[in-house]
Amino acid sequence: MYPPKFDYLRADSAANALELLAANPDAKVMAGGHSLIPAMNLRLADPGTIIDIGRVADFKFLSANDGYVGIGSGTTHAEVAASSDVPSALSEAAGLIGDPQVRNRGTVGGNIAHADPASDLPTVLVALDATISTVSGSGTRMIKAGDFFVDLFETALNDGELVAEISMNQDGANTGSAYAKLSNPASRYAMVGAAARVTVEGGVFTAVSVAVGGLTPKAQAAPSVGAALVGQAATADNIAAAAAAVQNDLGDDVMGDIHASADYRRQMATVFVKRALTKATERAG
Amino acid sequence: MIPSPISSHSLPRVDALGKVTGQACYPGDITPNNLLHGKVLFSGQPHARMISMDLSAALALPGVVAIFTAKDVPNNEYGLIMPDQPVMVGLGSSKPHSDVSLWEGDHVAVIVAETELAAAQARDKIEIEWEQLPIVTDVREAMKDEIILHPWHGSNILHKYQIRKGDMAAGWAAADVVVEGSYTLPYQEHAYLQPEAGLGYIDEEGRVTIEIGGQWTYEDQEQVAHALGLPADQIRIIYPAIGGAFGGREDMSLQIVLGLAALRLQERGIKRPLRIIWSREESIVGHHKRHRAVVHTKWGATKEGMITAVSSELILDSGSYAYTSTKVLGNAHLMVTGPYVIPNAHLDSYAVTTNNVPGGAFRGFGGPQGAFAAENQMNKLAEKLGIDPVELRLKNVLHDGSILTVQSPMPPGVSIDQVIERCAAEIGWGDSNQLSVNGHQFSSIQSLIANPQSLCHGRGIACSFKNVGFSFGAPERCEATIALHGQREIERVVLYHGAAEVGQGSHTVLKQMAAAAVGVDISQVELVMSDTATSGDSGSVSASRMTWMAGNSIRGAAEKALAAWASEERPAKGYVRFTPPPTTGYAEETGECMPNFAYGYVAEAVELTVDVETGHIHVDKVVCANDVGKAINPMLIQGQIEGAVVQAHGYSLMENLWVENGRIRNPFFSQYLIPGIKDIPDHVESVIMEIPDPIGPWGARGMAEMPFMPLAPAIIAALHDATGVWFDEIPLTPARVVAKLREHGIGG
Amino acid sequence: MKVSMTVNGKTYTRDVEPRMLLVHFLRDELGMTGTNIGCDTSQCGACTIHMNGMAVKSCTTLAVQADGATITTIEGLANGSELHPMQKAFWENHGLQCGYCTPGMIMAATKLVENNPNMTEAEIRHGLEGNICRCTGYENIVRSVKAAAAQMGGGD
Repeated sequence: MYPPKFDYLRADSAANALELLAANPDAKVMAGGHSLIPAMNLRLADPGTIIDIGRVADFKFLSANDGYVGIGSGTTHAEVAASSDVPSALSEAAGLIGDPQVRNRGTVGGNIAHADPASDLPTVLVALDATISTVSGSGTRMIKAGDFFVDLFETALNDGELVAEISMNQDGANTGSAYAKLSNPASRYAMVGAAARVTVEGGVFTAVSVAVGGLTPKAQAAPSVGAALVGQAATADNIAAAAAAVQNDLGDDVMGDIHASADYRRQMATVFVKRALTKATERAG
Repeated sequence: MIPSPISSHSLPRVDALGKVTGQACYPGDITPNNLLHGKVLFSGQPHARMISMDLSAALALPGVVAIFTAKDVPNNEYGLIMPDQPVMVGLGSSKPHSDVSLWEGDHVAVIVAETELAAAQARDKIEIEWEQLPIVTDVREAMKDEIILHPWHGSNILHKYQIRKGDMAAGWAAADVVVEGSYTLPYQEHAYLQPEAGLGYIDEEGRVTIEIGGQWTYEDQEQVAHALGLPADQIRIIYPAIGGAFGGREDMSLQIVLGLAALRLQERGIKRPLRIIWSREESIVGHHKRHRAVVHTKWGATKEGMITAVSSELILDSGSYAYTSTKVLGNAHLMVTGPYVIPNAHLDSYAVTTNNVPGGAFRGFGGPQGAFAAENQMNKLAEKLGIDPVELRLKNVLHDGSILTVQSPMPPGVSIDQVIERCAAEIGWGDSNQLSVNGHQFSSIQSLIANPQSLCHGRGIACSFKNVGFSFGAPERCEATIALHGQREIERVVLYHGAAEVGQGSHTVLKQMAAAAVGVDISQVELVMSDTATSGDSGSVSASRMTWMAGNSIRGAAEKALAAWASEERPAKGYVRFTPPPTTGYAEETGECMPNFAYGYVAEAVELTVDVETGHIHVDKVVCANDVGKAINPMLIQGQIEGAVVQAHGYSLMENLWVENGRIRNPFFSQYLIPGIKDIPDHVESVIMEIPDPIGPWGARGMAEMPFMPLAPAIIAALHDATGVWFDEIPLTPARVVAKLREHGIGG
Repeated sequence: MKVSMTVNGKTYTRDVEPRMLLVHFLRDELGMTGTNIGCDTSQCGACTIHMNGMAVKSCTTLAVQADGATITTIEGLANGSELHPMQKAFWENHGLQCGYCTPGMIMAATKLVENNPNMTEAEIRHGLEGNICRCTGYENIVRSVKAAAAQMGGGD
């Protein structure tokens, strides 16, 4: 198996990566290569030039303070999965990506820049209302996760721009988060993924954020679920009733394939939102 | 002579050292000096006539050595049971009709180049013009014969068998209950981990030599010789390490094109070895599958639970070429009534040609399709009669001398009743409190623990019989040569044998049997295996036959070698061509025959949990009771049981080949799902029973296919036990399960 | 482009095309054919090797990404003629049949046990989800890993 021919450039710093990118605007940026190389092996991607940022130390960090956690884009899924600083939903999702070998090489930045609709992290980041910081020749930008994912394999990244950091609130007091996933048993990609973060005070939901992915062209916030749940008592019945409201937020582009039809995925969105909410609620308590 | 005994011994595999150190040499690992690389171009056309082919751009690429097409094949036809397939589809062929591609995997060119990359690039530069022809992909459409795919045959019905036994009107009249069912069975891809690869060259004695993974060196040799128009002794087949087979390497893949290229290159003065390695995609597109099938069947029984009549219509989609379809059909036809006494039977079974991927050999060889119908019918009858399914089976099972639907008696040694009873006892059948239920994470598919309210538990059972050895009059044989070296004492024993080692452990068991047959320690035995230049015709590693057949051949050869030793011959040699009792083919009208000389027996019980919200099934436990006659190497047997159960688990729950308009749409492991380690049953309990086969070597029976057969219907029964819903189609994908449960108002 | 890496203790330098996968570098450039290719799509794990101390799929890694790396393949796992406990365990416990998945399975399992010698059966299964076997049904693979873990310092 030979991927298509390409020129290979290796960046040794963030600044160097931006220079290379400015000089090669059509180049594909690669970190671990675990989204790009399989696509190239199947001839689904044919980049003329690859800029390898896999060794850029500037992008490899994970630090928390003041209830806030920042993750460098070059951090691997294995590192995120092992972190107790990140919200539970995120470590849970990172630990479910691919398999151990894939998690050892695949990076958070590479994953979200690829914006595969069946990827786990976008769903979680939307539910957690994460911020994606980018760098480019013209400076830095902060983009809300909900705005970052635009469509199937399409993000708000401009030409010459790189993902530098993903940041978000930690799960604070009385707050829990969870990710529940119906995955393709071979690739482990999500056919339906649901992420939830809830705050429960005095037995009542005071904040609820839910997103779904895998069945829609991009990770999709599900505000209807939150709206149905905030102010309600944290009971199984209320969760079940509110989970069904996700149907209002799925839109018309629910995707199906041989493994799971669009109808089935739609049904499962309710089931998995319910399960993510249930787990997040347990964790909030 | 009194045969020397053999003791059960889990000898570690003789090939394990190479396999754990990376030294084992699979065909793609063989890298001689001066190696050329090849690629095969598939037609990509389910039904089209070649109008023109232009090789000029491909030949002009640097590094391209040669391209061979249909016109280069001396005798452009091949096939395991009939030569109905061109080696290459194209123009200028020595055989008529070979300009028509009937299958997307038909070969049209083999490209030889200095590098693999150059060969691949040249392949992409070959220009072909095709005239599209109408395709037929549905078996019932094909049976109308509006479009005939093989003009020489005159019908798309490749073969039909029928059985007419007893008086059907009387049988139905005697029935108090009747159960009717329609079942749909999917394709299954072998998915052996090693994609096809091989090496072709001219050996030092001028023979066209092919090193490849196969299941029967002599059959490969015969087919290559036929296509190349050479005598068999000018073809040499060698099997290096083989990365799995399961029936998928029984037919030709790269054998003929490698031989052809080596031969034609030599004629051009190029005496260099050629290697071809298929990708996973090429492997899945390029070889046959387990037949998909539809079965409609009707069973009648008295209220006491005695079966009175069975009718059935079974149709296999045999795809574009015959492969082993008629033989697979024969098995399915016999096993569609299960291991039961059926007084009145009216059975019709068809193998039908379409433009789909060919159906062929795959562990069970038609048995699983038949067993699926039979065992589901038995479990439904049990429900309808209110009789326990174990009890119902015991009332109807075959015994020594029982008359089959084909009106001949079962050979002695029938143990199905004991196997069922043992299986039931091991799982605690009838005692529902013993259900072994864990907290389920469904972790491979779902990341969170299911709501306890959405989980249902159930238990089911099924059983099967399966022939050991070739059936229905197919010539059966196995050759062995044993040489005893030494002077006063036997110091060294050399066994020459053709048995392929595809992973099942044949070489290990043959070594154990040779040691026992001669009466020496295992360490004194050397093996010379799987090379037509040195070893005889063993027949194939298929039909659960090799331990049984090789054991008998080894015992015969050892007896002769020991006699030669006694008469002072040094080295003392013994050769035997063992033949078992004869079998006969189905009679045209009634199906009467003596189908098989030996059988193996198996029963399986399953406990499972289903998440009715998501449709996911988690198998908690499988008990497999398998009568192996004599367990020569128990650990190898356990490995066969565990491996077969997991393969059948994939067949039942996951594996879903997507064939659309004659093309496979998911030829990748990312999309064709075989069980990973997190998908499998929590626990597989192998119950190895040893009820001797009267004519098996040391009492041994064949066993490797048997554990595959009853799993799917046992899962169906357990799912019914859990939900009250019968499923008549596999795989039981979550979406399929949810859809059916919702129809019955469950889980949503 | 020039690529240099230490494989099984020895440093190799080769001039390769950037598109060359690490698995082809090992098999075709260095002649180490113990590392197998089973799927091309990153599912089967037959190509698993150790790169800088981690289990990695060499079919999903470019040789140029491994420039400067320290690599161990199945050929380098044994200590001379002394098999690694994992190799021994697979041999003794029938953890293989056709053997094609075995090198990758052993390389993945070795890292798992090094990281946690006291794994439960569920943890072993979770840790091997990136490696596919079509022959064994996995049961004897789990038994082998357990046996090796006991040898490698766990099991107490």
